[in-house]
Amino acid sequence: MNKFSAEGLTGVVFLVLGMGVFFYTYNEVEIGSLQEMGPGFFPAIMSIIVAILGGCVTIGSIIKQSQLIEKYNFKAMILVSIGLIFFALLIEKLGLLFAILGLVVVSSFADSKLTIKQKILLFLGLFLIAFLVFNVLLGMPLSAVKGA
Amino acid sequence: MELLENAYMGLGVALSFNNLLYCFLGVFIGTLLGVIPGIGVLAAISMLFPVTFHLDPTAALIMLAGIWYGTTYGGSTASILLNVPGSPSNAVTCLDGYPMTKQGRAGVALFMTTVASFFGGTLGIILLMLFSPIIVNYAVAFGAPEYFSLMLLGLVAACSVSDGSFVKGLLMVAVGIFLGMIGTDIYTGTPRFVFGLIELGDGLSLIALSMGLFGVSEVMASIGKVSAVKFDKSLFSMSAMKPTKDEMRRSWLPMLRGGGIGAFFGALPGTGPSLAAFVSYAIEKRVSKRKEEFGKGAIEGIMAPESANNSADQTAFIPTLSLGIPGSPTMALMLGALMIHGISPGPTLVTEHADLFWGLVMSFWVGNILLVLLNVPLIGLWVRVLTIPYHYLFPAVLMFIAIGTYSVNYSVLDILLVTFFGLIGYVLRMQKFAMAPLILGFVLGPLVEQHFRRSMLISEGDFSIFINRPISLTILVITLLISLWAIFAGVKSMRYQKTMLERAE
Repeated sequence: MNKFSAEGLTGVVFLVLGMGVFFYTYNEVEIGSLQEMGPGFFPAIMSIIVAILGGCVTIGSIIKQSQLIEKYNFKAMILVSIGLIFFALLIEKLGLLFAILGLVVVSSFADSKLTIKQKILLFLGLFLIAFLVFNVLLGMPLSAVKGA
Repeated sequence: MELLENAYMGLGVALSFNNLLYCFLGVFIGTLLGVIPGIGVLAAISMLFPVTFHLDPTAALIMLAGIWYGTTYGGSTASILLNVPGSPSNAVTCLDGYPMTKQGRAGVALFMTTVASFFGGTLGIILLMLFSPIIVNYAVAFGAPEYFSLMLLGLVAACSVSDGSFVKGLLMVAVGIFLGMIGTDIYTGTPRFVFGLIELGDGLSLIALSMGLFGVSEVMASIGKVSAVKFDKSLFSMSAMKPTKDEMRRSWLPMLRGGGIGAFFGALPGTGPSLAAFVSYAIEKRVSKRKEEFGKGAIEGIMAPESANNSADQTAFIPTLSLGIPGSPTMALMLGALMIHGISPGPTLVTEHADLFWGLVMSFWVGNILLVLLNVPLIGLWVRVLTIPYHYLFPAVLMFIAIGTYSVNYSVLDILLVTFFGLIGYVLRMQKFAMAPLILGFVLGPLVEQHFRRSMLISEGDFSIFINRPISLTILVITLLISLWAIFAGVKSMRYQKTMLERAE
């Protein structure tokens, strides 16, 4: 049994998370009684259920010796995330134009079929669509370039 | 006839210029996003959700609903032509739809699925019109224990049918319920699990959660996997779409059965169009005299599921509108759109906002007719959409997700949450954890807690309140039966897998 699957690991993560949340709730939030429940009662029950089910998933994965073949696309995970984080950081500081630039340029590296020229065209096209739809049509207060 | 009067009144609402326009926009966008693989209906509606702030509630709901059933029409196109489902509820259509394309019968398949979709949709709308008022009458007798049991049923049903195992589904539901508790406790006003973040006081945003778990993680999963293809135009001419007499004759019964099965699973909270399509395909295969043709382009194999999923799309509105219980995450967004406009969902909606209810229901007729027009004469347009390479599409999808999320609360934290849940969703998805139960748990969690606490207050902590009331007891027995069935089916498939593994070794 050298193969402890990722699925089993996920079960353990939820087991630990559930127990952690239970102790946090038990100590920090008022539990109350069954007749008159406090804000912590239901969360406490749910955290125990999460922990138990997490344990069940782990046990299940050991019993059936699941060997799911997982091929994570790490490049897509990382680049899409960084692109979105760029967008989040830039939207209020510099405005829509640069936020979209950051998102499109970074995330499009996840699938490297585009040339630089195509990327710029894609970015310009998307910015134009976004500006027309959200600013002009819907009148949302998203300025294209902050401070301009 | 009160029903006809209401229908007439609703038709007037649905045919006003404004509502007609948003109905068209809804079904158009729905078809477009349905055709493109990698954007499910939930991501589609989440993206468009902020737009509805600017509309009156009837128009907003008409548009969101249009997207909802429009994606199901559009989704079959990708299933048939690419062997990749445009949305999960069209997955089964691949089995016989794609073989039909390989035999050069793509035009017929596309035409006939539109017919089946229209038929299923029609049946669903009729049932919706007949049953909603009846259920509203019953709902008056519903107290907290009944609502609690009904939601428990929905959650258990959602786990038992999602892909992946029952236990994994339950775990996802529990996690979802837990995420739903983040925010302010409604009874005491105490903030829970917000860790000092003021933005979390109102709870996690459903949009951020669903865009992350469905939108972003779908993009991550699809990059490098979805490829565009080219098609011969003559495949989609009007003459190529004409089915033979034999094909028409074989289509009637599967369409009828599919529509009925779809109506049932659509109305049951927690289940929905995907399961409806799957079950109807399985039944069709069992009753057919030509079992060997299934999987090789049998027309029954596309008619039944496409009728079922569209029928389910419509009947899903029965619990949502008449009880205020969203049977799926998408339905929760619809109720969210109502609540933003100050309309509280529940049995009173049908009577107090009769113009909204009947206007919406009648707009389904309009929408379904528009969809037939969009999907038969304009099929060439959608086929062309499929030839856009994914490396152009996904940055666009990400952009709409980012702007859409941001514009709900103008919160930077929400975009970061989308990213976070996108990563979590991708990892869980790779391990065959289903995301739908999680979102359903998140949506129903606060309601479950509320009705559980209320029941315990009424009964002074006595659990027998749930089994002493006949309606509640009935629902709980059904819930138990579904769980037992799911466990039994799970063990059976595990044994099967194990023997296959041993044989392989």
